[in-house]
Amino acid sequence: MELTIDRLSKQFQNKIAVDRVSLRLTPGVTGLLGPNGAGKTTLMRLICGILKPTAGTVRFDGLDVSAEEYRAILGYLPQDFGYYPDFTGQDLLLYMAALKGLSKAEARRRCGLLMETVGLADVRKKKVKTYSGGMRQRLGIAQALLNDPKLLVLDEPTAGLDPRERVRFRDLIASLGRDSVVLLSTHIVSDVEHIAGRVLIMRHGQIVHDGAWDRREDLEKFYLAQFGEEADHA
Amino acid sequence: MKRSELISLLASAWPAPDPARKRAFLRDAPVRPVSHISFVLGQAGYVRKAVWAVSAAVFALTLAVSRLVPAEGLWIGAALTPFAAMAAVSEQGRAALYGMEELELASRFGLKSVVLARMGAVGLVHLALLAALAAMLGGGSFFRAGVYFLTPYLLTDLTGLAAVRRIRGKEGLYVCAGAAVLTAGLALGLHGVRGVYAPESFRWWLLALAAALGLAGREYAKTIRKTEELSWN
Amino acid sequence: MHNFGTLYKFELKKLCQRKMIWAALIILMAAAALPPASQVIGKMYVSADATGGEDQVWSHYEIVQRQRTDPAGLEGRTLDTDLIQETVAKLGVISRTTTTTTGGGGDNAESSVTVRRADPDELGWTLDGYIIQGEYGNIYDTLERVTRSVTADLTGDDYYAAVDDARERAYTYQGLTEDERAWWTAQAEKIETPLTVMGYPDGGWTFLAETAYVGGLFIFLFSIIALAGLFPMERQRRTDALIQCARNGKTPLYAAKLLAGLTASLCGGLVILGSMAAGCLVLLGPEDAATAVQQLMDPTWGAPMTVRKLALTVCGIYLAASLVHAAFVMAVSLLTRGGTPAMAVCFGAMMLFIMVPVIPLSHPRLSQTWSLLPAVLGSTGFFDGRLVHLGGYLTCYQAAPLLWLVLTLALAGLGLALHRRTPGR
Repeated sequence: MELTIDRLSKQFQNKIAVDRVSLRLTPGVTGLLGPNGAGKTTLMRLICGILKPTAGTVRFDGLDVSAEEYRAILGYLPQDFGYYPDFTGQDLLLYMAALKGLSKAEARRRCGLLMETVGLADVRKKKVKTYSGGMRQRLGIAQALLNDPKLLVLDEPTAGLDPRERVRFRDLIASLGRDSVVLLSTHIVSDVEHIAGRVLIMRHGQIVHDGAWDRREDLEKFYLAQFGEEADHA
Repeated sequence: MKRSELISLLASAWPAPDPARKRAFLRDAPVRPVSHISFVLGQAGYVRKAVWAVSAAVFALTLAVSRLVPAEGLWIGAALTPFAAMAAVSEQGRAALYGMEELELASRFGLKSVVLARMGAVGLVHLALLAALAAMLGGGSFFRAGVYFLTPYLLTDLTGLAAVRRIRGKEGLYVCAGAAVLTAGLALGLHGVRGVYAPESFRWWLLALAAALGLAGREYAKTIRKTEELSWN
Repeated sequence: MHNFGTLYKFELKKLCQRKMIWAALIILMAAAALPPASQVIGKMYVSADATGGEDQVWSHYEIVQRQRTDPAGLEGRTLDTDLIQETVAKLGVISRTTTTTTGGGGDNAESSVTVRRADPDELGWTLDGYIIQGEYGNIYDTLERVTRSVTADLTGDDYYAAVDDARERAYTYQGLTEDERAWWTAQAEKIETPLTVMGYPDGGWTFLAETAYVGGLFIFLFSIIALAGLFPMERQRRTDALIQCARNGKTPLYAAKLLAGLTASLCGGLVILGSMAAGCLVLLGPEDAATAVQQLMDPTWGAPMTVRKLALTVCGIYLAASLVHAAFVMAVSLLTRGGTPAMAVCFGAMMLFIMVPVIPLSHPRLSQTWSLLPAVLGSTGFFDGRLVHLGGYLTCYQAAPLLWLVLTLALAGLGLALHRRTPGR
């Protein structure tokens, strides 16, 4: 199981958002850090096939990103996503399950299981417009896991979650990382610190650091050091 | 020695001291008053060009088509004025549409004043345009033509204001556009139906205008009230 | 397969959850019933000066109800010499004075027929008298349209010969080929002459046939309002990223949305036309069902057809057109990537079709293509005599649904190509 990104680039008019990124990701959690505008979200959208690259390829076990089979093994939680206000939480999951190619029976089973996992079982028949921000985020996480994805791409997944929910979610991601390739982008460095076995740091569209993470070190210090911030603060 | 030369010599001989408490002085200085007229005119300058363009297009198209088909000017005008109303609503609801309410509410002049000023500017211009159309196409009956033009305008206006107030984001504008298209389409489709534009049906138009005026007034009041504070959640 | 059924149901559900669509449908339903309702609302006033007696006031509803009873007793009569002479006697003849100049300084030839229009006193200013005058007046109008001069000695043979002449002139004007003329002549031979007259000329079926174009316009309007946001809504609601990265998020979802849109447009069309038809038949009565089109709508129309068949055909045309309109609106919304711009473009197109009902015959191909457009066919294009050669000869209203099927598929293909292009956000 391997995600191969080969010289991936994306240019918007005169701005290069992703600049010749090459990576190989294997099962486990990879944290993606970087300042605003570094190109993290663009990279994730390229990996999910939502944006077409200007150059380069993305493949998962030989499957190109444009293939339907690739999307069948993909789970994606965007940074900013909407919903259909009059759908119930259950409706939304069943709809997404249909889009992901699950059969009706499997969809119902997964929907029930995931609603329990993310703690929304009690409100599954309520309309999404009545959910709080944190509840909607949990629903987003649930939809990303519907098809038991081999490749899970999470963009700011813990935004809007309270500390207890964040810890629960971190544990869930860590468990998923045992069997899937998980790419996690966040500004909350402690999330990456606790569960990522590998850290990528992105800047100006390029990967400036790519390495295994030894949890004995302070990631935040290391991250700031990459951008010369530590010296300023000292 | 000239007076100006003396002044510059004195200034160089005794340079002015460095400003002390400049920041505190400026902060405590009285706020420069802005007259209502200059405020409204200033806000009119911030009304998007697209709004004026749509208003001009409605006016020009109505006149142009009426030239080609002289007897049809009334219903053509009735079919096109809803789009001018839509442009007006999109301007009035701009802060809500683009999520700028919180910022504008916290500014000096406040969202309420800004919205009132823009409503006034656009509303006055539209009133003038409708009056001009009524005078040119009314065939001697200015009041009747005015009613035929104003009724669909107000119907679209009140529906649009309600939509933009209740529905966040661009979806509100979409509903407003739908109302404009529906009103315009009804004016188009029903123009040939016996009695719709006949003198004996005019009292129904007057009733409709009165109802539209009342409801539009209520929607305007609600919109103004909404600009006084941020809607919770 | 690809969970198509589930996706289709969810797309329909999303459409049904939009209150705006229901509001538009209810308003358009009510508006569609307005034309027939306008025929029975209000009153007719005849002052004492005209009647020579008292003022007469009849409600239109009263007039319609009395008309349905055929007080003149014309039902079942044939349009032959006897009926023509009877009509002329009741209503008089038309005067035409024509002057022809034969070259410079030459003689002017004049011919004239003196005329006397109906003297109402003969029929009396009663409701029955007014209606009987109307019944004969309908026959009179039919005669006048063809002969242009209704003379006292006009016979049935004269009239039907004039019909044939008028048809030939129409074929020449429309530029029909010899084969097309022969085809129409064969159709005309199937028309039973003399025509059997129906006594109630202004009934529900006739009115429906004449005003169904308003229903067609409303169906187009409904498609615009309901479907202009169907695709852009995903971008507006920020669900497009979730959808497009899903396995069935491209072609299968597009097909589901397309089918949901077509379903909504068709159902909306059925409701709108149903409301109009119900209004026509309930308020104005169905008694004119078997009236020949030749009696009421077009005396020279070269095919045997009753007004009921005409009304149902026109309604069928607009229902078929609802599918093309739906596909058009959806394709435009994918092109413009916004619901509001799509609405503006489609409404502009609708206005264009209304403002330009015909293209002059000096541009024959453009003219015929224009008259086959969904928004045009039901109003001005229906009685276009030009035929469409698809294997054999088909009339415009027979060929149009087949051509529209191809057009719908082409628009669907265009929409798919636009949907599959990845947004550059």
